[in-house]
Amino acid sequence: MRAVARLTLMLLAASSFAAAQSTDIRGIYLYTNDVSQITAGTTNALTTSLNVTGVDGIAIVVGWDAIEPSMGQFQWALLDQWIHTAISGGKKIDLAVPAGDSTPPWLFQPAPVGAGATPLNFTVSPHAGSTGVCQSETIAAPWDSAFLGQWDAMLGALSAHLKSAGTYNAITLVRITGINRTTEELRLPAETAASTGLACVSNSLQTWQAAGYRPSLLLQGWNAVVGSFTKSFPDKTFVVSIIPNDAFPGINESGLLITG
Amino acid sequence: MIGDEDEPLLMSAAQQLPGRLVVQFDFLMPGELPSVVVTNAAQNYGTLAAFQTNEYLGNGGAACSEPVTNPTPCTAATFLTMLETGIYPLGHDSTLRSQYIEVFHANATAFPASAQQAHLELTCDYQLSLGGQAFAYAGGTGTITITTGANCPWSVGTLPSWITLTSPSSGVGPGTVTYQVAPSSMIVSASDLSGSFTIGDQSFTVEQEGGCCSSVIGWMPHLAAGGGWTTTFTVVNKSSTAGVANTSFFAPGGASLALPLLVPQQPSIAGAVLASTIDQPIPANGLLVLEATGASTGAYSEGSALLGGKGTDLDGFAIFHYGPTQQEAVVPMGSLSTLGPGNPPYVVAFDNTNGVLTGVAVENTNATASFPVIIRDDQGNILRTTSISLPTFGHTSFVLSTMFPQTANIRGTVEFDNPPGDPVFQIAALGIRYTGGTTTTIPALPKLGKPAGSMAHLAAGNGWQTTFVLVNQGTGASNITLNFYDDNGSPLSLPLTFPQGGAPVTTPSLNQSIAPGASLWVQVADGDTLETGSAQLSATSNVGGFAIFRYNPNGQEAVVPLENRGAGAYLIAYDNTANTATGIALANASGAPANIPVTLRDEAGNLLGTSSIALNGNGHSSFILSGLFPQSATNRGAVEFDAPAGGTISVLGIRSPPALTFTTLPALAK
Repeated sequence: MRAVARLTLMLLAASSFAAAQSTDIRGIYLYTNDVSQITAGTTNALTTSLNVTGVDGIAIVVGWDAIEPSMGQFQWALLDQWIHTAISGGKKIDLAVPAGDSTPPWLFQPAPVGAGATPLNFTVSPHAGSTGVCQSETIAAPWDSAFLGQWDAMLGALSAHLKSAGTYNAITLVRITGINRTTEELRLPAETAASTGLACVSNSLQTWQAAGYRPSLLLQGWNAVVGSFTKSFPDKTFVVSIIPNDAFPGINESGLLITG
Repeated sequence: MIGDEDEPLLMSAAQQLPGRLVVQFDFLMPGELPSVVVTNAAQNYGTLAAFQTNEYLGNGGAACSEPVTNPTPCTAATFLTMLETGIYPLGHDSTLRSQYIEVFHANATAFPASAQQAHLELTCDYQLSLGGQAFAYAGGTGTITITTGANCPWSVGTLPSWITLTSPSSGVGPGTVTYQVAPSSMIVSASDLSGSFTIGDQSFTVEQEGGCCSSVIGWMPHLAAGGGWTTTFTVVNKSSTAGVANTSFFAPGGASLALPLLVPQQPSIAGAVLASTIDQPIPANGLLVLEATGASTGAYSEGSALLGGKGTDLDGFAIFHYGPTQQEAVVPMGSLSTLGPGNPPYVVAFDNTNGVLTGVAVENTNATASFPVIIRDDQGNILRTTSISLPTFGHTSFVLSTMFPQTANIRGTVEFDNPPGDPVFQIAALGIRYTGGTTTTIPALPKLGKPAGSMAHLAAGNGWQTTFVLVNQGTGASNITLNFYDDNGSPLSLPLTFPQGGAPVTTPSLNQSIAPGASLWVQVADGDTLETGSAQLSATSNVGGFAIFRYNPNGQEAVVPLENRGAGAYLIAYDNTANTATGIALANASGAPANIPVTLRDEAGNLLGTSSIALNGNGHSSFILSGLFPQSATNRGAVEFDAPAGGTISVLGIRSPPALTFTTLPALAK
């Protein structure tokens, strides 16, 4: 029975893969920060780089707060502009809409203007404090039902817009985001003042413990996020960005800190 | 290791998105391995690995390594090194080859030539006309055709010392590489050589036979490759010493025949190896599989094969396969070891009635000669005497009734003799029976028949039908007794009919007289109830024979040789890959109960399991091998059945591919 199940799985994998492989994902993709945050100089540099021979595509990163500044109100102009730039250059598109520090403030406001998610406040430092920079952000827990509902709705609206704009088929890859810290990488705030050596960094572990963090809840939220992506982009190939270490708070299933 | 913290999330996503998830992470530092999690996701769910080739530092720009407080500056060289690392994360292991790379935009501008090169390496596909080529000790020249995009660069990697490139070592776009292999006498070692080199991202393997010491073991009188045909050679090492198998192929005119060969047990050889002779190591108690495919032109080739070996006890067989109909037939190996010394002619019994056709293949295993041919009808009357001339290692195949019209619409035998006075075992022959689109081997009977033997399987009823064919190879009439036994060893009464004439009879024991040179055909009628068991023959003079069991619903047939070798053990080489099953029939040809030891080994000769099968006196058992040994499912190997002390057994293997085009697997005497 196990062999049969495995065979079925392999067949399923093969058939899904064949469908997704109708678009050739291979190539060199340019990367830069959230296009809603970059300077005019960076925009020009990125555009110039896109014309370098050998560059096949671009990772268009645009924050959630940039495309949905108010709940249910979408601003597609910037995204459409970059998509058209890529299309006109014959480039492939890897689309990433991160949450994390791009989470829109309305998510935490009460109805009717907001979704009423529970805010979790952190002060983090990129590169484990080695840059000396501190940065505050407010995010929702990955299992927060208000967050998951709005995330699902945003992805549905994004997919519908791309289809109505005729650019859906130009999207080669979709980045699975939603559980983020300061980039589109799959991670959560997990540092402390002690771990970074920066007094400005808040105790992320304490915040998560207070919020009831459990690895199983993280997985539950992740599966909901993945489900939303597959619902809105059923025929796309996805990317998930992972990082080497300390991607998640060291808290076990009992809510206790993992030591050693 | 990187990424292990993400394991539950990554594996969950990989399961939900089989084949369409790219895992992206930072570039690998020298010596750093990707996570086992990433590797497993790639292998189990078709997840791709992708790599970010630089560390983005926000307003600080990009660096080429961490820590960010002391990064390695990006240069064209470091950039390209990282791209190479990203492209081949596991040391050029294509299973995790990254096809997607993310670079910080400033790097693309700073190093456009490197970006272009990386683009080509990512997106260029390279295909070689062959995966390798094998040469005899005399060496030779080889040609490799490269298929790739017009702008795709390629170069030839480092060559083994005994290979010389005779064309440019690099190029752009489709091209050709030629090389020369030196004679092995010109190099230090006379042992077999094997080496490989790369072209683009593909590997090409060259093998060369050493200059001495291979001895002839046996002949396979027919092979077919191309035009939909493939022939798979299975060589079994019956000894506990590792050795080398040498397989050589010959065209009908006797010249060496170069064939593209697949070596499925060596995944490192990606494509076919072109060879007219090939040496391959064969482990102790293990087996070797070679598949002769068609030429790249798709043209049909046929001929014969010679099996040699070095320092071990080898045996084997071939199966030729026709893709469009999935039909298969086995080619047993003719050998001195199985037939004993002497100069035995071969006899092929045929039945060309009711639209059945008989194909015959003959190989000359020695110097040019003319072989006498005697055609008899089923009463032993000589219809024609003639001869066939074949050059050294020459081969011919033909439809019997086309070559010899007097064989049309009758039953009889065709005997292939050695040249008069020739003391050397020289001819090998094979019969093929074509019935309504199905193909079955008819074993060529060496004219060394014995007055007794057993057949490991019979099946009659519920769609099954068995036909016994016995040929009197003596000079006088032979009185034969054919006894049938059920699985428990009790006499099995069967309804018999006689296609050559005679009243039907139901009996557990058939007594008949067969004239010299004549053949007897006895058919067990299909009935409502399936009966299985075995048969035992005794005769007053030398008789050879076989049985054909047939499944009437699809017309598929397989042959059951008459076992009279009296070996102490028999091996069945099995191949349960590609959803193929192996059936086994085992009969106790002695009157006393027996406990028959069974030993299962994999293709590398490793012991997988042992068991024993208890049979009553004259008892019989038939089963699927993977039922007795689940560890044999999905792999290759050999299963050994040992005869009990003082006892005699007979064994039959049946290969059953998914298309149910079953084929006999010959039992190899040990």
